[in-house]
Amino acid sequence: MFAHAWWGRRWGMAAVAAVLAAAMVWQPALFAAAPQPRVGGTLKVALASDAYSLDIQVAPDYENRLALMNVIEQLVTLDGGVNVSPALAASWEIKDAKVYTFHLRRGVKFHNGKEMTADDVIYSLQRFKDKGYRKSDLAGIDTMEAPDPYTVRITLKAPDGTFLFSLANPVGTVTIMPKGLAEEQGGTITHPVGTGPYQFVEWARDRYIVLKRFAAYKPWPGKPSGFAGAKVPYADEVRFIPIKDESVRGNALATGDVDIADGLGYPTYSRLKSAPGLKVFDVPSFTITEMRFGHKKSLMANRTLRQAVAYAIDKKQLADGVTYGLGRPAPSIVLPGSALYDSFTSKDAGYDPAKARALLAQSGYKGEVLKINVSTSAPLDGSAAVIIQSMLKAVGINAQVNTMELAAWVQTWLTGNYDMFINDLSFRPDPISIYRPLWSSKSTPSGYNNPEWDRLTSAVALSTSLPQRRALIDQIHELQVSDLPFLPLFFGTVGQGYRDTVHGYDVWAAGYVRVWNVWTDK
Amino acid sequence: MRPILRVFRRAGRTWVSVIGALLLAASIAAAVAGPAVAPGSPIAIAIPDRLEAPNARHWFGTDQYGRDVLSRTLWGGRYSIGAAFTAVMLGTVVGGLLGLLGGYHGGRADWVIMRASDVFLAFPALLLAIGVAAVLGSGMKSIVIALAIVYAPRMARVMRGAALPVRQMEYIEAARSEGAGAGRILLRHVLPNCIPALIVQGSISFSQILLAEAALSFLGLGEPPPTPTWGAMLSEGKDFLTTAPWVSIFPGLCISAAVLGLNLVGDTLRDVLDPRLS
Repeated sequence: MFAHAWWGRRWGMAAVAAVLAAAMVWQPALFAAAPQPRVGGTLKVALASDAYSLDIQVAPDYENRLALMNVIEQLVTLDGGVNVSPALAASWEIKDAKVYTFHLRRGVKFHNGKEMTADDVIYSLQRFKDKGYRKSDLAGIDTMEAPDPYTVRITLKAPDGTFLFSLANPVGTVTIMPKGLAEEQGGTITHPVGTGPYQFVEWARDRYIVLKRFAAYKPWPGKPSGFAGAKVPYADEVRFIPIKDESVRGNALATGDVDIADGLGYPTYSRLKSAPGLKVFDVPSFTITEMRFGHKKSLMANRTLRQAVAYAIDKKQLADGVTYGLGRPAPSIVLPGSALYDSFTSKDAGYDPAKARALLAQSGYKGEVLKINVSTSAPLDGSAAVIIQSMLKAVGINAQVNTMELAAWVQTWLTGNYDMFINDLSFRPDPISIYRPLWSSKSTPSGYNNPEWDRLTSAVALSTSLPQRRALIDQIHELQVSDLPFLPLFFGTVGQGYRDTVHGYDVWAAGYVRVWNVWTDK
Repeated sequence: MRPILRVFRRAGRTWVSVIGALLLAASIAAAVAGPAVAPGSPIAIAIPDRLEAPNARHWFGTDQYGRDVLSRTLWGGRYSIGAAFTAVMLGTVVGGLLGLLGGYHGGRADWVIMRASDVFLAFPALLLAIGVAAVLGSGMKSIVIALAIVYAPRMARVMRGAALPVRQMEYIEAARSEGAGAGRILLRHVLPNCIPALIVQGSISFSQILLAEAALSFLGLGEPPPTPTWGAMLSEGKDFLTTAPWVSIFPGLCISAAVLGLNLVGDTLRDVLDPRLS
């Protein structure tokens, strides 16, 4: 977590004085000095790209979540430290990692005025199980029942220790929506309805997404943290505006055209860090930049060639080059500090250009052009692609950088028709929530098909003991390094900034733009 | 005196044209010989050396990947000037022939060619080029084709205007009465008399095309990275405009110099070749 001043500059001195006085007399006086939140006004948020689709159960782009995580809520969610926390379910009981009983909050209203009940939860989970982005994560559900309107009992076919994580994972979001919503909208959600502090108003493609304050929202108890805790909407309206060019986006923040900006890279950070009237941050994040290989129609289906690529990339230099020394190489997608991280998952194949050349000679590669797709919406990925292209060239791989608009990039990814692409894996609570849905032979668009991978990833899901899971994750890591369904590259940074008229905004290592508890004095 | 020498002599009388010619010669020399004299590779990355200010080792400094800006600028000249030149040639051949045909034949062929070029001229040039390049996909080839498509109707216009009066000349009538075919008359008698118009239009358009090429590359429609073109270098450098201006200033200066040189030379040629102005 990255705590920083949440009061404005002119309140700063007053607050400091108050802290000094309070330290001697009475601690809680600190809160008296903080400015009172103001209800009203409009917040404008600049994003790197427009959303691809508003159906966030199905479309896993980061941009739609930036706006819609303020609109929708999940059954359970993640707090700032990436732990599963109560959301629409206030509490739950688990029996043998197989029967999950959730107790819903009472009196929660959808934006359409209806009360949220167990029927809506079952409908939403069923829809995700049928067509959600990570449908394999919920494939283990056997039955779902509602003993009463505020209780949902889910029975799994087999014990699954990762089930709560699967529900809380924000990527491919298991949103809770009113029963029948998708059918009313013709199968695909175009007008999201949720229970969150903000409600969706309008999307004009490539121009804006508008949200407005949901007056009937009742904050949950608890300190705000991550997606959990008390969320209070203050601004009347929030406009998410895609500004594709990073320096233009930075300028929009510097001139006050927008109040908050996401997707700022190091160049913008270093240019704006001492600019008056705003605060910008470039902090290490949980986000892992990775390279994906197309296993379907591409030459990259050849494992020896994938290994040559992996040995040709100097991750240390790459991380330094892209993040200006802030990011670190990522041997694995297991987050350092998590319970599953150990000396094994921190091991990597390493950088060895001589070996890369030898493997390349063995692979039967004849200088064919291999394309590295990269989306214009991710500021770090473009630089990563340029550096990787040059590293691959150095060992004799004829790679080409192929810069694409987000929509086209997502399209090629979902059809599986690509050689390589660079992607930011926004953080997930558990590595299995990346390993299983993305490279299982059943659900992957990449075309990766490895029975051993399927076996190990399902075994992790079945296991509920930590040492056993750790051992399995180690085996998966070994397979990832040797067989290379994908290649983790480095931990990136979160670059965001906001005007000093904005209060309560919190830059989170997980990314996202959470506009609750944020107010503006404009 | 041969006519070509007379042109040079008259052109050499003003200092403006001399400066123009020098700038143009320098640009062309850089495009032709640049890659051979470039001190390093334009695409070799050296992260530890990134964003170095101009110094003895890197005369123009280095960019955000530690690449030598001088080498990139020299190579960029080849790509940018080469692309603009190819587009001008392509547009001249296609547009020139169509204009000649329309102007000489008149009638329905003329009407069709001129209305078609009206349609193209109705679009703002850069917008049309962006549209065509977007349809063809990014890459140098599509930029060249897009610019040629934008430029050809302009050339057709000029050539038609030049061919119209020529076709009524007595020597054309004489050639026709001696039994010469349309193709022979067009190429041997009409075309040579339209050459001055072609040269003037070509040289003036060259600078506009070069600028348009830079604009398209700047917008990311050109060759994918890491290929250096002046427009793409400007685009890459703009994030560092306040912290490392040399990344974008040098390619920017080159674009300015080449465009200025072309404009001055074009102006001079028009003054010299247009009989109405002398």
